[in-house]
Amino acid sequence: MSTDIIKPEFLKKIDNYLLTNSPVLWQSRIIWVAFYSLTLFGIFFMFGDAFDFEPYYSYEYNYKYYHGEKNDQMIFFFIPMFLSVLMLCYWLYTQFQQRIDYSKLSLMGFFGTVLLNFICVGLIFLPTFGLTISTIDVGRVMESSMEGFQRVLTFAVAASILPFMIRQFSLIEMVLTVFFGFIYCLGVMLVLVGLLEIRKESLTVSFLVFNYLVFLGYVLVKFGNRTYTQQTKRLALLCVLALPLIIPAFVSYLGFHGWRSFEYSYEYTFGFKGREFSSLWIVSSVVVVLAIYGWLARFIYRATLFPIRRK
Amino acid sequence: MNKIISERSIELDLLLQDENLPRAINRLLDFVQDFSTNPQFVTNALQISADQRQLARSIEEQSLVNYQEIDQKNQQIAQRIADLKQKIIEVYQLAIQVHAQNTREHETTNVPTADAAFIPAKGAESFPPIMECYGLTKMYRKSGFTLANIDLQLRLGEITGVVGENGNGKTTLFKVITGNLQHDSGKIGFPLLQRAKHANGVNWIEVKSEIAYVEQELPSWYGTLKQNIQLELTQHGITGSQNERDAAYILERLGLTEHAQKKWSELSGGYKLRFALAKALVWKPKLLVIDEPLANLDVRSQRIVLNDMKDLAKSAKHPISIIISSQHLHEIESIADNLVFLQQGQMKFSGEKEDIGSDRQHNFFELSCKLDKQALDGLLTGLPVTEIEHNGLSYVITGTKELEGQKILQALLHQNVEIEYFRNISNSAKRLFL
Repeated sequence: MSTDIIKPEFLKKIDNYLLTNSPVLWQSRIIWVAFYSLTLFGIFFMFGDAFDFEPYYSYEYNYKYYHGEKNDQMIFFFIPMFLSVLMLCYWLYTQFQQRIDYSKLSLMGFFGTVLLNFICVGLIFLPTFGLTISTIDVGRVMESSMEGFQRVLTFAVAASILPFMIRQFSLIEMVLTVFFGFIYCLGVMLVLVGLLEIRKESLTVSFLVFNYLVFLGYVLVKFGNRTYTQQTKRLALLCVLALPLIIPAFVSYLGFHGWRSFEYSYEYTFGFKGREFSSLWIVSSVVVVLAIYGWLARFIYRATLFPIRRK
Repeated sequence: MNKIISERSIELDLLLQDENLPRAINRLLDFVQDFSTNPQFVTNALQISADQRQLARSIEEQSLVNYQEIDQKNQQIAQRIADLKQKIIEVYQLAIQVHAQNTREHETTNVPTADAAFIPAKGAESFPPIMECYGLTKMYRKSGFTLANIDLQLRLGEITGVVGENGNGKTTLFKVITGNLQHDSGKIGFPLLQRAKHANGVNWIEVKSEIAYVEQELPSWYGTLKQNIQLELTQHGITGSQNERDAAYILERLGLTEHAQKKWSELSGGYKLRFALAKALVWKPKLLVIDEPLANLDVRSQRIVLNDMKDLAKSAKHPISIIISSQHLHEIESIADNLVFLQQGQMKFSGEKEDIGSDRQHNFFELSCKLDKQALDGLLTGLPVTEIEHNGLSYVITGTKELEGQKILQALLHQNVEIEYFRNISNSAKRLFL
């Protein structure tokens, strides 16, 4: 099959132009991501119109009956979302494959690049979004799907900072770091809940967040003093990956609801109260969070240009 | 005429006389790069190189078998090389004359300040070292290995070879020099690369932007070979048509043009290394650190890579300091200006390669022949030989300083002994391994 449809000539020309003029834009693969995502979004959106069915209306009981709404969510939300997550992993793999020198970027350059990466991440989920909104009719199913989108996107914000640091690890190293990081967090939680007989959920979360902040502080101090080891770098990766659990929640929470409990902050941020994709979520994610991420990316990246300690 | 351009012109003439066209073309490409800023000259040189490559392929594939025709085409290429060289010299001389008129100084050795790109490199000794370290020490607590008391200076235009057995600290030294590993004690500085003093000593963000490090295990890459070269250029601020031209130049110079559209998985080990070299050299770093480049190369590729490195290090316009490690002593000695010998983390020798063995008490020779040790001993009776040892591959003959290679050869040839290999290693780094 000719690759002209998959890789049109005009995009190749733009790609080549970016390659020889703007390495950061080229590296983000934004033109390819945008091309495929917008095309698929259009197709999926129209697909919803063509294949969707109207609810069966029972005149006898004056009731709208929806056939197979559970299946709708599985087919038009969960499975495409899983595929989108895989696409995100592939995009991250393309970032992993190429070493880019970001050392000459200014702070604004880092903010811009993080924003660029975030746009790519958002675009990757766009086709699934198009499919979901065009096919799912039932209000509560749609609402839970949108909650799912907001959750996944909140976690995926970390992906916009990863291109700055993933090249410093091997693939297996990253998998093991995430795996043992998860085991550690689970272990801490079980110990706390079991030994201290904690019943209040928010207290458990508070311990985890406090633990996280200690780790983050340790990483920042070590990188600041240029006395980091490979182990510190792994901890930094873990902190970056877990950062969306902390930052969007608190930015959103502190700015709107006042300080009451961790539980509230998560609930409000992730839209459990029926405010998914609220303007607050968008502003906090896009402006405040990405600015913090941009600063963090620059800090960690520049620190890792200094020699590593090895015992 | 400037001394450097004159010497390089003679070198090109000699290569043309010897009909060594591939090497002449490589040196022509270097000549254009060093003494011209005219893009048309670069394009012409690339065209000549492409035509020569095409001709060589036709001969190899036997699509061109007529000897007279081949000879005629070779002569045409040689003529084009000579013509282009002459044009470059004329423009260069004209620039010198214009400068002399402008400044009212008639010293033709001066180069016009208006055309800064023409400025040839000063003698290496007139620059401060690009890197210097004193008493550099790095200890691994887990393994107990220590790289200790390394004193080293690297200068522009010089090649420093680091030799030593495996596990003696070569890679550790390179990682410290390139800012990938923190040393425990000692001082390291980059006088030529770091403009201002930094609170923590070396400002690695600034310094690393001038260092190219080719590791022993080459990292894989995504996309085509040419894309990667172009990306490297773009990242160093070379964009647009200049990017295209420089990429084409380095690909042609390192013989990679035919592989420009290939991906990582499609290249052999030798070409992967040449690609890594192209990627490292295309943005003209000041310091090139290259770890064991010859390990996976065949003999021909080794020669090509070493020649390229030597030519590029001695570039008139963009001289580079190269530090290279290898187990191939003979090959490294053939290109290095200075040698460093590491043994169990200690620096046993550091200096100009001619100084190796200058304070020796004995002469050393390597010999390979079909004789057994007793027979060899018998044949060399009467010569001031103190010891004969077999190291598994060849004999090592040790003698007093009066023992000469000619005398050993005479004694053996007189008895019709078939000699497979003979080398005086008294002034070679190889004797340091004995």
